[in-house]
Amino acid sequence: MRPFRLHRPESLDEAIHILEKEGEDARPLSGGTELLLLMKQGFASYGNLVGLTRIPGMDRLEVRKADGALVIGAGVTHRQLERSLLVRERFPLLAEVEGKVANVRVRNSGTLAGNLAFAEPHSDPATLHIAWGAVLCIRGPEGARKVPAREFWRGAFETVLQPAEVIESVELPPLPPNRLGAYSKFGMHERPSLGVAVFFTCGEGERIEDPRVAVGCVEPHARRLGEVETALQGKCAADVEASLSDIGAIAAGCVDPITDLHGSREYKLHLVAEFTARTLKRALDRNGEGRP
Amino acid sequence: MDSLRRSELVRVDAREKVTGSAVYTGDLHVPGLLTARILRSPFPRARLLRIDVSGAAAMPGVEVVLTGEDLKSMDPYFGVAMKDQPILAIDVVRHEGEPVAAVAAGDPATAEAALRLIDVEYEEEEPLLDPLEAIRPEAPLVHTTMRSSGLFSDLSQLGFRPGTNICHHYHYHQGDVELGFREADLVLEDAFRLPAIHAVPLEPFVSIAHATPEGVTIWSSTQHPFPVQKDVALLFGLPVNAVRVIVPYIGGSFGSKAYSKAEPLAVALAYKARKPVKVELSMEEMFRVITRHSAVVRSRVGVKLDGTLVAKKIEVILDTGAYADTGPRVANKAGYRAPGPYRIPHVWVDCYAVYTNNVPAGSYRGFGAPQVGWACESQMDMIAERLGVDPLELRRRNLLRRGEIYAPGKRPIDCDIGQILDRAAEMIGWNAPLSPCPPGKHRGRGLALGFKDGGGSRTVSHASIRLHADGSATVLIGSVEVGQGAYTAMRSIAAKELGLPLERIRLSPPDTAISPYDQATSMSRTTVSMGLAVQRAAEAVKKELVRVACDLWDVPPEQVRLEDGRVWRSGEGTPYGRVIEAHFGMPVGELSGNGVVRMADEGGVVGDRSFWEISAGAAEIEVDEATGVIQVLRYASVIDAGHAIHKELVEAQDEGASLQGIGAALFEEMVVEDGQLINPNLIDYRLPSFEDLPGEFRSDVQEQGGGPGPYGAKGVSESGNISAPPAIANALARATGVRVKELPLSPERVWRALQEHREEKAERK
Amino acid sequence: MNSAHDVPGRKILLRTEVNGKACERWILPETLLLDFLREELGLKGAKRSCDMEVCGACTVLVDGMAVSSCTMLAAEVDGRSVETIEGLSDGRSLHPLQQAFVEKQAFQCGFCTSGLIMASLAMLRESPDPDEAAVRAYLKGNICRCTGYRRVIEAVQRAGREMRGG
Repeated sequence: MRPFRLHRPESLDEAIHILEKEGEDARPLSGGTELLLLMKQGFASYGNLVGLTRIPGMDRLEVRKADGALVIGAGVTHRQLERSLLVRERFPLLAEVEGKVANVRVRNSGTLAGNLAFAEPHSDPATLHIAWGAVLCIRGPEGARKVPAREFWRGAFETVLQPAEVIESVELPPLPPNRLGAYSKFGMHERPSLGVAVFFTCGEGERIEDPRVAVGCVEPHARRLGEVETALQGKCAADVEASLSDIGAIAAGCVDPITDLHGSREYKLHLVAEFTARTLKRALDRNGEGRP
Repeated sequence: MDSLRRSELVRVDAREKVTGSAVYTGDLHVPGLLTARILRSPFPRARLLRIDVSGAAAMPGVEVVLTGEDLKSMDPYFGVAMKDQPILAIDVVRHEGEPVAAVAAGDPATAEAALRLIDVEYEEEEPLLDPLEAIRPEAPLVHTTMRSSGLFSDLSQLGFRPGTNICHHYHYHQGDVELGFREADLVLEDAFRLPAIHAVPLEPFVSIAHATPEGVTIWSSTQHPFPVQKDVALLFGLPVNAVRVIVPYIGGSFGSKAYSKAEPLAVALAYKARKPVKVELSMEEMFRVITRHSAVVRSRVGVKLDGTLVAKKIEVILDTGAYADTGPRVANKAGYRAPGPYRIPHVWVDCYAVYTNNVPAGSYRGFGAPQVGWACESQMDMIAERLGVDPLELRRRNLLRRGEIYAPGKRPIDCDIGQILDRAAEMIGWNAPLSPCPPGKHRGRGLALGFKDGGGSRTVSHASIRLHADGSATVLIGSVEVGQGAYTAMRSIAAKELGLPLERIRLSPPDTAISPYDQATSMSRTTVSMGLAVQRAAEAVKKELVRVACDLWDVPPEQVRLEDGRVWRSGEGTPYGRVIEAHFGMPVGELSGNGVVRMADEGGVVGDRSFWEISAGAAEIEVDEATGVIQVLRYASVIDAGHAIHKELVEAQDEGASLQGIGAALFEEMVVEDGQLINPNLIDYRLPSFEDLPGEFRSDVQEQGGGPGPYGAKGVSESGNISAPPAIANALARATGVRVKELPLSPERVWRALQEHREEKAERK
Repeated sequence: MNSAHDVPGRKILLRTEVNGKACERWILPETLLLDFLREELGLKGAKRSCDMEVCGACTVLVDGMAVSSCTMLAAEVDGRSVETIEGLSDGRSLHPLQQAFVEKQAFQCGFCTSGLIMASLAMLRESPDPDEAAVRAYLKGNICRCTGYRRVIEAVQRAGREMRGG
């Protein structure tokens, strides 16, 4: 790697100040599992790396009393989320998905926030967070702002983060007892080829309410599939179960994948259909078995 | 006291490897060592118009920059078969990744920074990437001149065709194939394909070279210290005794570290820098150095209704890439092994190694057999399916029996293949009902043979044993410990022959200045060739010991006997060391003995020490129809080791070979787009992991005793790799009715095949 | 070392503990943990292989957690503890994991072995009695090209029993 200065600020304000001052020649450093690899390979080079994970408060992981949201500080690693009793008991689907990220070493060092900010298309957490309705709390020179996950990503490795802005924390809203969800991933390589996240509330008369379906890895960034959500809205669970492949077909109609190492366009479309159906089924199957 | 229990088998290298103290080439430090980095061509085919290294050379900390220009005062081409590979590109580049320039500096960062300052002007040309195109007479040439290296006599009849891209052509025939096809009741003709894959040893290539007016010393991660020594001597105009190659432990090779790779470049840099230089490749660079040949195998087979094979006509086209490396030999072997271990009266085989602008292909576990075995064993099942017979039965009917001739003048089959096959069938429960599987999935079992000859021919191994004045012994061998347990096997043989406990024997690691000549650690030859050499060296030492004892005690040799580390006379045993001490008058000096073994000439049967390396693989798989994913639920591999020096080590090797074969079956392929490798790293090239290990996975090692090595031993560890892919493809066919003839059996490929099959069935209705 | 980038004032102080011993060094910020261990401290057990966090040949433990030292800054272990394969045995007797690897023939070329043993150690500390599925899931990030994995699983489970006092 080319030489750089390593800054170890003691507060987020200090970090932002350095980022602002050094501009494009600075980048925030969390676990480094993605950024350092990029730099080692010579695809990026920065004269300044600004360490975030040791800033007091970045390791925050707690449920906010006011609304029951899970607040995940930017320094929290995938492994911490995977293993936290709090997360496993009250946000088990998050623990499950975090436990599927890469391998245990990456999970020990890599942070959730760092992963979301890096915006690698072939990644799991983004898809889940978009469907979950997560909120990213961002801080920058202009102050703090919140961005819903579904608006956070713009393209491959591209987010709405402005220069000198960092993710301070990620908030996940609590899921009421009748809100079901599931996540599926598929891939033969080190990075996933497909991720599908499904959430819905199973309301009165077993009717689907407020469905959220997100697909990731097959396009430059993960996103929700509005047409699938429309198709699900108001349907009763039994009907959905009987028409899974039709809903899958709608999902496939929403996405526009390219042919690459992860598969041909045709195969990816097929997988989107297949795994949307499978993920819906898994979410439905959990009804009565426990919360996602 | 050491906690390693002596009563159990403990490998020679055990302690070092589990404590992290085993030294590999990259762990070595030599005073003044410089680090090298290589600039590689981004294009698969181009003219080199101009290289400007002035910026790099001027950089502080850079000691030397090397390009093809610097090599014009020598003949910088090397290669085990064809002298076609330049140390650095000269005038043209022939594959993506070909070394164009190299920098050596005081530290890696400086070397990398200097590399970025080298300015190269290329004139891109249309690359030749398809071997089926490259083989045509009108195809543009990858090489305008062809020179054989003249190094190895088995290639003295090199079948290269000047004026074409045919680097080697092997032909064999017996009987009259056209007659055979006319006699057949059923004729099948199919084409089978395999991609280029990579051996991916976990340790990338690394060589350290130090060149002084006294000579050259090289430390290298290589399977072939003596051939490298020879290459370097020839290249740099030195006598062999002025080149010293030392091999520490190496981190796997599987064929990729055969013959010269990074060494000539390291030496060239070392000469210019006048300091020791380390050339250490990254894993990504490894993918651009040497691969396993991709192949198209066309097989036409004629068979009687009762399943008897009558005729086979096979054409194999191997893509040997930009440089020949061992391609011609791979072509020889692929062609030789193509018909399979069956009785076939009429055979016609053509096997071509073709130059293209792809990354050079060379040695890989199985050496041509995986390619032809994929075709042969897949096709056997296809025949069985057409005839409505059990594929196990079909094979039994046609298998060559022990003692039968495979090819005239060659070693007859030296084991009962049926026994190997039957055991695999038994282990997988061939006739047992399949457990039910969930809807949308299919289960099935398949089996296949892995067939190759092993041991090599016209090679030679020397061994020496030094019996020290205290009765301990050192065994000097040039065999490389690639992980297979060679040191452990040789120590055991020496211990047994000398009648000494294991702890009293040490091995001296390969060092061409000290170890006697060994041609190669490859071809599964070490147990046989070096094992016999060690036995002979032990014989020689014992003979010397007896002579000394007889001389000492003034008795005839018949009255003296060696056992348990003592020389026995009239019921009284004197430890070896005492005898030596008495002989020299003091505890000084030593006795030594040498052994040499030559593996016979091609065509020589008497004294032939090659052997048949055969495996049977059986797989039980589950296929997910919707995704095409194949899960190998259970896998059994059976091999015959003749006699296993250490059965557990042999099993362990076979397990590794089988899983490597499963990797080739399901995942592995080097993907090329417009001549560029798009997956030259472990993120995008999938290797088998812990999760790919089948739920039940066993290797059974038989000891049928027919090997030419010590105690009836054969070499092992390549054949398990050959049987896995066809076994799995056969299981897929039996589970779903779908035959896939191209590897890997990736989810998408399987899914497509299942789709097409469904559509065809629907159409037929 | 003769480096063009050895500008005075660029080095930072690293205070860490390696295999139980305090360690203080001035390092360049871009120094990777793997190179720090291998070149600066001479601890060559951890290896550079894939260099992209996939294979695990570089696995060491930081505060007891398995990490890819090839893609971690040495600076990251400031104020933290590092364990490498060299710290596992006391020079006379072997750690149960090492013992088990030897007895079960769970290694061949040995290049992945240091990383695999360290990863297994981290796992056994967390989960002293893992079933086969748990071993596979935890270790799937460590690649071995030689052994076929079956013997490694047996070795790890055996070591677990031994460490529990079985």
